Amino acid sequence: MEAVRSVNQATDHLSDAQIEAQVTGLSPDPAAQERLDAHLADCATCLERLLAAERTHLRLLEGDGMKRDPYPGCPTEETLQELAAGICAPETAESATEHAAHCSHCGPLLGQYLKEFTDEPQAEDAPILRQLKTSEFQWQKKYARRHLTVEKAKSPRWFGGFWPKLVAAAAGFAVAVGLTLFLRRPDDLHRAQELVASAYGERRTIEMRLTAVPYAPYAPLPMERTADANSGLAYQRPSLLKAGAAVGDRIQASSNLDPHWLQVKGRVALLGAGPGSAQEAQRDLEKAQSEGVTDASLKIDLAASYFEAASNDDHPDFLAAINLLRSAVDDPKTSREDRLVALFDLAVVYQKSKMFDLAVKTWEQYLQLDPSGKWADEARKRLDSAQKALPSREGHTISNLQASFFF
Amino acid sequence: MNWQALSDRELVEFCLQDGQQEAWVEFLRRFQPLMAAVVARTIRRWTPPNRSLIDDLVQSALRKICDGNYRAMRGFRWQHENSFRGFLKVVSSNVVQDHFRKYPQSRVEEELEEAGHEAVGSKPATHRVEIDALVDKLISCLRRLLNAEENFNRSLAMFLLYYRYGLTAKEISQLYPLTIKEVENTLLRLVRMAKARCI
Repeated sequence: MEAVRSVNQATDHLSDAQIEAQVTGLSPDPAAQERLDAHLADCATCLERLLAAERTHLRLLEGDGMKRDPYPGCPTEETLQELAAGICAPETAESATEHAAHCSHCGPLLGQYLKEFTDEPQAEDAPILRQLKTSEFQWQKKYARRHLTVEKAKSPRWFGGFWPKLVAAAAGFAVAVGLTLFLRRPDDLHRAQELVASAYGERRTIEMRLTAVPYAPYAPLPMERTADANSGLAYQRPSLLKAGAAVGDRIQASSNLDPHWLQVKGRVALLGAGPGSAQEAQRDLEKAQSEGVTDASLKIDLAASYFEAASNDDHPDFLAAINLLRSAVDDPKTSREDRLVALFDLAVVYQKSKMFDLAVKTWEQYLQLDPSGKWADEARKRLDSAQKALPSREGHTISNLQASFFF
Repeated sequence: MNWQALSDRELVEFCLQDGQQEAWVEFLRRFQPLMAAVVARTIRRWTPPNRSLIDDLVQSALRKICDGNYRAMRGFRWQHENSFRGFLKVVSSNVVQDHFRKYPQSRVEEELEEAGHEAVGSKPATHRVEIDALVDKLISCLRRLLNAEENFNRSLAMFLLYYRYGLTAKEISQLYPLTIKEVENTLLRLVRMAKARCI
């Protein structure tokens, strides 16, 4: 940290002069260069700034627009489209990308498709997209009713008359029930995961949204509770009790929980929302992470546990939660639904941290991607409250916050 | 049923199997913003987008995926969880391009468009030849320096996509199984190498 600080005492970031010196080849002495490289290894912002400066410096290399017609050996435009959309066959993707990098027709065309297919909301289109007829819930409902019905295949008339049909139906039903019972024996882990999701829907005791859970309004438990109130609250949340029991059964069967069960255990603790629950959840979820679960869902759970623990602190530090959520949002492997959850939570953390400008931007980004539904309604309310907080909080803009807070 | 909690794949399967109205409403709620955004951005190639054109073309794209008892959707091959979104992007883009092929912009606008397209950064032909020669020399030099590395073709491609064709590190990371950070580190290493030993 000391080495990094010496890069730029005021902001912890490289100054414009330092970036310029790097670009023009006026390198500092080896020790300073080493500190600078250490900073670049950690700081995405400075690395991005330096690369952008290098690109400006090397603008001589820039292609001269797009060659309109393809060369004889170019891949089809369809291949470039699929490449940009992330659905190109893996065996073709790498060779098509390498071709595009060396081709004055395909390179710019690929760049154009990537920009048109980006998932990032574009500010210039936002106002018009919000006013579309096709984005209104009522229109969608009407369109689905009128145009989107699936033609079901008509069954052949094997039997005529009422009684044979009834007998056949009863026999079919009995076979189906038998097969269902036989084939769909409940998977314990899956069932426990469903119970936790139901528990979230019973009472959302945490502000953060988790993956694959139904919407529920935020309803924190009272801060001070008597023993009676505690037991009363437990009986109002039967799914949470059942999920806890499922974890208990698992621990009885095997003292070493596998990482997915640890995640369930962590979620149960998190939703329990008692004293020390967040810390308990944190321990389980960190263990699950160290044992190989690295998907967005775990990052979000872990961020929620950090957030809950920090929220109860006198001097809350939400940095760990922010970093985890940002990594879930930026990870290209994160599914769209999980990315939405991470974005929602990131906005919650920014708001809680009184970084209202970032909260507003993040809520707006969220609502671009998820404009309707109950989560969107909540997001809109929170956005409204963040916007109202902005004028009186001018001191809390990105520029004068400790930059190291974000990275 | 909590439709919003379903993955894309589960939702699409529900739509195709049961055809329940609620499933399709969720389908539209979830995918309309993506389709409309691609439609709007693609329209910009020809003209600034307006609401009614975007709405019309979104509906055309929906008709296209639902035609023939959802033939396109039923034939779709799931490569990964987000691949259906990629499919919708391609369909939406093609619908817009088909529209402008069928109803081209006026001649004047088209000429302006052409001029703009080719004029971006255009330089005298002789200068262009010199630059192309310089780029070829740089590529050969980097290729020689990187030759021993396992993925040198990939590194070189990333360098050119970023510095020559203006892709961002994030866009490049979508083309390879790499994180943005990995792409940026490669770009920094190569530009330093190029400046120290090739330029």
